Amino acid sequence: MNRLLKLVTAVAFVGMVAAACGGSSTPTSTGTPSASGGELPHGGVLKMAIEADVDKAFDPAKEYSTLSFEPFRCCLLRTLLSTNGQDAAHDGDVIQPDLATDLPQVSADGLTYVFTIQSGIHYAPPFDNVEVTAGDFARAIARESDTSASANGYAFYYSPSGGTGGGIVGFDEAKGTVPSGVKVVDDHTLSITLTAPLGDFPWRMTMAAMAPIPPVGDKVLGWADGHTKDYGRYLVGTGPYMFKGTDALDPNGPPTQDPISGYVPGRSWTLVRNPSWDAATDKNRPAYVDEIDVAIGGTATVLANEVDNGTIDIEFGGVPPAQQLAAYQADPTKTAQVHATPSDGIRYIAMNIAQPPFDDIHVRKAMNYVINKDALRRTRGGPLFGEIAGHFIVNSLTGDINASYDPYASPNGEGDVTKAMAEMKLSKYDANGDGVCDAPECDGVLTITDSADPYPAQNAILVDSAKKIGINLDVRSGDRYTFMYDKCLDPSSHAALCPSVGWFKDYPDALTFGPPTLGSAAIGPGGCCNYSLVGGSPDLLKAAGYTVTDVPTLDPVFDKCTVLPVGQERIQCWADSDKAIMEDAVPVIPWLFDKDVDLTSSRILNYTYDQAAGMMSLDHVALVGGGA
Amino acid sequence: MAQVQSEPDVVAGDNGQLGGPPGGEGIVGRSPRELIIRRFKRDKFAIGGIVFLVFMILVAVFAPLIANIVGHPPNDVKYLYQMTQPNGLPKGPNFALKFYFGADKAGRDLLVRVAYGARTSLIVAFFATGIAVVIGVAVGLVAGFYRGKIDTFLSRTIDVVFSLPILLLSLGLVSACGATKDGCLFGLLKPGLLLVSYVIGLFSWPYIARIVRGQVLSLREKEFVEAARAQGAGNLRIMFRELLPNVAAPIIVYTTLIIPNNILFEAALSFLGVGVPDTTPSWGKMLNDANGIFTVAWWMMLFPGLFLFLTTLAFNLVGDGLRDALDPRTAR
Amino acid sequence: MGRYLIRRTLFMILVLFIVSLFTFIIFMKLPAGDPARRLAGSRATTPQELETIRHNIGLDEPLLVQYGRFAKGLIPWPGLFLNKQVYFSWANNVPVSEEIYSRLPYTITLSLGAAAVFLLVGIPIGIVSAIKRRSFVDRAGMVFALIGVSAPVFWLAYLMLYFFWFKLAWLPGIGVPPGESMVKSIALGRFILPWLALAFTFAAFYTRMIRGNLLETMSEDYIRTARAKGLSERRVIFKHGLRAALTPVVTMFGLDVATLLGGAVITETVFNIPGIGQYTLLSIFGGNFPGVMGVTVLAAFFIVIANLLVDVVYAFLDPRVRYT
Repeated sequence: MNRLLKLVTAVAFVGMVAAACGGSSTPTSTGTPSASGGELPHGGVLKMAIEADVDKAFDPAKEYSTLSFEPFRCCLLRTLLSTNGQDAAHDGDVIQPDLATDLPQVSADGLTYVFTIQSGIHYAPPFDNVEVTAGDFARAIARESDTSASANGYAFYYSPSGGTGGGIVGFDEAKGTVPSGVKVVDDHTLSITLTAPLGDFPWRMTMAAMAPIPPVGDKVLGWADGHTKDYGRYLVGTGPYMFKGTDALDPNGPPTQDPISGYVPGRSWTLVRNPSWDAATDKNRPAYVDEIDVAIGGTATVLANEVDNGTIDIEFGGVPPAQQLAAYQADPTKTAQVHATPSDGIRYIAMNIAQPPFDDIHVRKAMNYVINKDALRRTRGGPLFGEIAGHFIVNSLTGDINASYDPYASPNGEGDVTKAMAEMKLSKYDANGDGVCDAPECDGVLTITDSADPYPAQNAILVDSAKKIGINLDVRSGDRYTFMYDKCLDPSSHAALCPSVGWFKDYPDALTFGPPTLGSAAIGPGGCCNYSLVGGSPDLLKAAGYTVTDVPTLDPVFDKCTVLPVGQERIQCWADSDKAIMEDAVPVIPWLFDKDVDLTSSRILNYTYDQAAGMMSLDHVALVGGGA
Repeated sequence: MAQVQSEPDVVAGDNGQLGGPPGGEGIVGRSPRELIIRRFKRDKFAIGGIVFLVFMILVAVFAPLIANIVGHPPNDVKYLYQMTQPNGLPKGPNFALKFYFGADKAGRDLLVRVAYGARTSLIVAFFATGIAVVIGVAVGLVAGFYRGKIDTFLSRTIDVVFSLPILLLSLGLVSACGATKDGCLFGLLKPGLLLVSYVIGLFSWPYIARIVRGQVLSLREKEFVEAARAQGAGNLRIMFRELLPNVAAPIIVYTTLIIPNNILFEAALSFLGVGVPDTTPSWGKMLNDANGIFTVAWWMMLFPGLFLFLTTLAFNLVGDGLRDALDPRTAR
Repeated sequence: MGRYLIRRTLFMILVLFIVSLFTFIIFMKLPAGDPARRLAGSRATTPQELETIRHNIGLDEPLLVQYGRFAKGLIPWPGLFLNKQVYFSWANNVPVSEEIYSRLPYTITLSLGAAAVFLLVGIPIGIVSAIKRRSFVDRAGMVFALIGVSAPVFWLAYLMLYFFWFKLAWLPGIGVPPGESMVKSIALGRFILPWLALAFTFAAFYTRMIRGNLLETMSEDYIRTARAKGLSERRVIFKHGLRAALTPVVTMFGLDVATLLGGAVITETVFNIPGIGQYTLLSIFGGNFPGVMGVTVLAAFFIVIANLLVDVVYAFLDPRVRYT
């Protein structure tokens, strides 16, 4: 206990120093505005830890893990367009030019985008004498069209047959060459032609897979040649940071040369400054710290302890344990180290609308009324972790138009049994009209969930809530990957309820919200992640063994919005689609607008949240005294 | 120790004296079985073990009654708001609300869940051990009796099963078969307690088989077997009528010794997140729930683990007592 | 002797083959569903994407061919063993061999340390208990052994952490920071509680076994003869008794160390030690079959080699074995 006292005193002292240095320490802060450096000190080593590594070893074409978004955006890879790495209040969800001089010029028919590329941008060593040209971006798109290279990634954003409203002309046929719709007009001008107008196409160009690839000889894929599986370990970018040891790569060496030493998969990331990066060309990234060390491994409790004793500055992307949070919030010297920011994510319960009893819309509405959302939130950690959700699409993506829209509202979000029973009475499964289901379909309702904390506690709450309207859940749980995704995504498993699911935006447009969760193209097992089978065709349902073959579809609703250009009309369209989701189809029970909670050490001066990536912004964070 | 060997199969009379002072008891002869029971009764720890096991069996059987008395069914979340803090952390023992062991994250009563957990552990232990004994005895009898190629094949099989990474494969099996409504192997391995029991039994039968085989090998040469054969008894009859009863004693001993192993195995599987279905309380799963918060929610870690420990200990004490009663040389 | 060893070696190869086959069947054939789907997880995908993933990890080939590819990676020949083409982690995109070898040092440290503890503690207690039968030492030793055999290792771990780390702050808590050198980790005492937790159970087994064996041996006829010859008690025990009592211990010890080297899954999980045991669990729950196969086979190898060594030692100690 003496250790704790010493620590508290040390923290208090540093807190005073920080205040004296003029750093901001706003409670539940959302970061300082100045992106140009202002009076924040440069220097120091940011020490972080993560529980598990990224999924695809930083291969930008394959890497789709939320953990990878931030290191790609902040540090390793610049793209034609990007964001400013800050939170929504500071325009963090507005597109900015990055390697492009300006936003692209769009043709009148909305099909052709022309980008002008900045001059004089060079790659990190060993390609520091190579200037970025338009051909390098074409190369990246070529690699993306190689299905082996982009497997597991998001090639569907660029493929005309990807189910996202359209793609780049010739992408599907290119198979590893530059698609016909991509034209290198000259060294600094790139033209891309689409198969259909895509209002959100600029957002698709902010993704890491679109980062330029350095040329090597006359190889089509340049430096990525021979690295179909492991390009991430040989990554050379133009960001303010690079993996330590990138300069030791041999540009003329064989693909089997040693990978970059600063990235040890599953063990550590070490990012150092990229000497080729010129701050004058990059107004999005102040890049205060000199080095970022990330250690991989540990549990939330372990890492929270390490933040507490100063070993690390933050568990990056982690969920701090309840007892640590409680301790910090109770301590006035430490409340500033707790940060909670809306993460633009929705946690919800998916109902299979082809599986009785959820094939009846009244049952689905009754479920929306009866679930105790507040109790679910409590097992997650309480109000700090989010707002009770009354609808599906997060407010930031629909301009807060639906901020007070909650068609199934209940007092404190604890569920309204009376209204639920009233809804049940209208259902065909309640023959005697007493508000409680009496049909055999309501027994043994197959529920597939994750067995990790806090889902077991949540399952108990769900069982209890559902029982109030006579629905008895048969809960099966296992680990997320080999169990949940397998079963919940396969229509033939006939899972009636999939509770432990959530969805987070890919970029700030509701296109990344609606269609991937409720569009017919997202039905499994090939597609993802439409657990509810909304829009399932009669053939598909029959083939999967369902007797119900006629289910509502949201495709026309979504299609209407996809073609609209970015602007108020598009936002209003998505807001309207949310109403259609919640009242016409009702395939889900949304219960939490998620908040990211971070616990930082006292060394961090200005916690900033990157709204686009959904994590702490690494190029905006500065350390007390420059890390002294 | 040498004296033990040459001790006659008689025991002192109740007044502790051998022979017949006037008024005393005479020399009383006792059968081997009585001796065994007597030696067992002298072992206080073994008796204690039996008492505790009876207690646990009663707890398991009357778990619903216990739930009724305190008023909290095992999966009831009615007291969620009273027994958890707003940030989700559970609250400890609260005598006023009759939560004697505290609550878990969903506000469920830990005492009641520990009682129901006894059911899981005991049921799985008995089923798994039962399966192991049935298979093990059969294999051991056949291998020891027939010898030759059959024995070689069965012994090799035993060796192979011993070499298998049982934790890994059990995790895989229970995971794979617990996932679907119908289970695997054409519906034979349905998810639930039975599945876990099958899997555990599948990996523990070699212990019994090896013991039985060894015993049968040495017994088959004895005269009573020859006598039975001379009387025209067939192989099966010899195995089951003659050999099996004589192997019964070591079988019983080793059975009581693998029961605790099986209990711990089930707990380990549940602890790792694979095992009995969600709504069935299991001590191992409760210990898993305690992970990460046990420093502030010590009751979640203490009580399930304590009962797991005591139950296993009781079985071990009984097993030790039996073994010592049968073979006093190694007695404590 | 040579023939005996060759037969044992062949049998061990058979065992390896069967272990790999079982692993393959249980993890690839049995689970309904699609490993490619599991890998893709919650990412939006198209059916073509899934096909590509499936093709990339070879799932579109017949099961026998798939098994053959994995089996080829089991041959202990450089270039074949855990080769990068097949044994490429499906979850992380990193060669399995790299992941395993970087974690091996932690498991080795854990195993050898625990082995040292349970040898140095378990055997002496067992011997003393047998010699001083029914004394206080014997009783105390047996209580210790009973606890070790009955207490689940994860509960013991939590209890130790609660008292020695949380309440008393004598020892560091869970986890081994990856950047830290092994020497520093050991010096900081990160392995002490894991060693103790792991060793407790094993030590208990050994104590009981040695005590039992020694008592049995000491009541054998030839011991009585030695005593009758007038040899001192100590000579009787150490020269004659122990030799017979310890021979089975050698067998068990070899196998136990080999099993430990294959990864103490529970201990590594509870104490968050980045060893092979933890990797096993991560691979199983991450749907990473090459990782699972890699670890299983490595663990089986350790056991096989240990078995062979033990057989050699046994053959030396007991000449009867050589001629069967």
